[in-house]
Amino acid sequence: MTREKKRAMTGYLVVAPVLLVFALLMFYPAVKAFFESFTNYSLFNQIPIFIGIDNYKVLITDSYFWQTFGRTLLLVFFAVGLQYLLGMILALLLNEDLKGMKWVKYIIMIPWVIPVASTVVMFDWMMLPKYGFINMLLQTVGLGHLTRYWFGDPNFAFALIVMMHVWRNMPFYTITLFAGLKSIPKGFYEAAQIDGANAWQRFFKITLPQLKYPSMIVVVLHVLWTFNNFDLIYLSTGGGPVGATEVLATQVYQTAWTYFEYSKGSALGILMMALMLVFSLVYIRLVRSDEA
Amino acid sequence: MLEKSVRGIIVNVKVNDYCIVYYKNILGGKIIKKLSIFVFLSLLFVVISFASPLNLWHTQLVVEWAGRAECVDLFESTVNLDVEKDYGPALYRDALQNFIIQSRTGNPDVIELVLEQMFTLAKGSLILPLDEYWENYEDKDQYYQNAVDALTFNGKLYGVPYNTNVRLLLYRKSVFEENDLKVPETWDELVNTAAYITKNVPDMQGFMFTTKTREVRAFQEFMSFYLQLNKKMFEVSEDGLKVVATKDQLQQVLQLYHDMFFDGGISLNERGADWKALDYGYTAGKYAMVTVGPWIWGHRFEEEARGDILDDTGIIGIPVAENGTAGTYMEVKPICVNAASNDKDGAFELVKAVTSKEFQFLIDSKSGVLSPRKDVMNMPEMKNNWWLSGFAKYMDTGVALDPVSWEQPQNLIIQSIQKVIYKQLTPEEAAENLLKDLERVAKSL
Repeated sequence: MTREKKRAMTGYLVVAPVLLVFALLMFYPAVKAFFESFTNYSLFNQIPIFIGIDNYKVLITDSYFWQTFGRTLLLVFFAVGLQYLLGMILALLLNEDLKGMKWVKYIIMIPWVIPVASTVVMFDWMMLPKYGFINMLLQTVGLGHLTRYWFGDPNFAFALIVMMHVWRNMPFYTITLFAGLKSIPKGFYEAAQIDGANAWQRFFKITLPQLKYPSMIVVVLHVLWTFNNFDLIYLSTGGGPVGATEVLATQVYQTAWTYFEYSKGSALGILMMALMLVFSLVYIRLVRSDEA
Repeated sequence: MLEKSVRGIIVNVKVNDYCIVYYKNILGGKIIKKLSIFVFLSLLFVVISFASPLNLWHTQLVVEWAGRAECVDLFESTVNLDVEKDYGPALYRDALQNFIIQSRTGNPDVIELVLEQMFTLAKGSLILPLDEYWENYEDKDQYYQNAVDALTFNGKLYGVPYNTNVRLLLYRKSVFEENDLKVPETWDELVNTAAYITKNVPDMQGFMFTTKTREVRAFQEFMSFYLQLNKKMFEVSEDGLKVVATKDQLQQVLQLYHDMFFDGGISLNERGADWKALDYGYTAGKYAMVTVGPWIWGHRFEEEARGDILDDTGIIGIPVAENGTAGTYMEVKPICVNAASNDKDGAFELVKAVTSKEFQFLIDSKSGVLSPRKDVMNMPEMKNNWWLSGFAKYMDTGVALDPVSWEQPQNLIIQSIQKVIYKQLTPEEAAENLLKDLERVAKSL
């Protein structure tokens, strides 16, 4: 065996345990779900039979699936869009070394490190009718007629879900983009200033292009996380009221754990995985082609 | 020779150099060495299998409540079995899901459930029928028959009950006295009284329903009224499960929800709220009437003011529909045995320990609920407790749920309630859809 082959072999041996764990914990369930999605497996039908693509047919001909899919895309669009926008603004402010920003740096990650369940409980208590913080505040300032159970109002429930996503994830964007900003050489800005570029031009011609990679990472990650996010919605509204916050992830849960139809739940999960795979590949290809 | 071999194997379990030498010298050969390793591992496996402690999942020993520490202490100091001190997930929903995923490993051996979940697990053959054990159980005559019947699925007993309760109407005595109001006895009176209170008593809402998506309490409240019109929703027939609820009955209950919200008994701004709003709202003095079970007693330990509200509470049967008979949702909580438990006899001994007279008395009296055991309910501390006796008086109006997997009907019922109170459908349209949906899913329950 040549020295190069020996080195390669050592490399494989080093990563083998991780790959094995990965295969067991990630690959095996995905493959199992893929095969189950072609059967009629459920809690009450433990000896499944092959039914081809029937589960997929049922799903894509169900209008509820398309409504839920549309709502999932809306959630991703608004949540990721607002997170990026607000995260960028805060990162730029942090980069300016304004007075008091030092404290912001210390506390900014708090929402991100609070467990999701605690975040939801906190928001839920604040939104409760009669004695939730928001309603008490409204009453105190003479706006008692506006009080309501905010998560129970179909006009506000979805917006609140978006707000919780933004509140929780924005710090991650801020810190990532702030780190990116710090790595941009100051000379770029000095040269642009000498050439007479104004602040907007400097932002669009230097800052944004230089933040392309950190942006790609946070956007791809959060599109995937938001698309698959289950806990924030399930714990706060359960997908209601009247389906106003139902997304694909909660639909998977309902199919598997309310109806115990594991094969249909698997089919829905596989569809979600395929959609996200396509998104990730297209997005990364776009960024790379731009680079080339 | 055989005796020598056996002795050799036993000695070899200790694995020391001496015995290996002993083997090499006396019996000799690699085969013996391999054999002894095999036997050692087998023995180790057997010892581990038999020595592994029993595993109990019991939410009441995990979730934070006023009597938890005392219950855990009593259980751990009196149980004569080797039981793990990790009592599983704190929430019933998590316990059910985890149990479905892992029960075939034999862990946990014993699980505490709610009735609806028990039917689901029984249908999935994940819990053990206990009839044989029950027949030989010395305390079986101590149990109220209706509680035992409630845990029977397809003619087999799947659990031993440890607490029970019924939903009743709780009302604020002082509010009724100060406003010279009569406690409602019919649905019309309930709606009118609730609307009157909301309109005329400052900072007070007449009534409250939970209506949140997937909120089990919303389903239980619906059933508390429905069971006055029909004691069953499903019936087993030759063709399988049949829906026996009628459109008119479903519509009547949905109409009650409609009237309660749109006639002013409940603010429209409280639509979609869950148990937190109801329990904490009532004990904070925000609602004049609610339909709940006795557990709300536990809130008195959180704040003195909540205790004062509960002391000002009257307990009475839920108002009855003009065309109905007394009936309300009866809850029975079972302790069940995993069908794949490695030690089923030991598991039933554990069931007996967590349903014993002493343990039931402590856990039920502390949490303010009723016991399904006669000897517990006849204890002076239970008999003379005004709260418990107030609930016990109405136990005979309790109706246990039909033995089916309730998750889907539960969801469909809550969806129908929401469609009515969010004005997407009229009660008649919602009832028609609900009936169709129940008939559609009946065969899979």
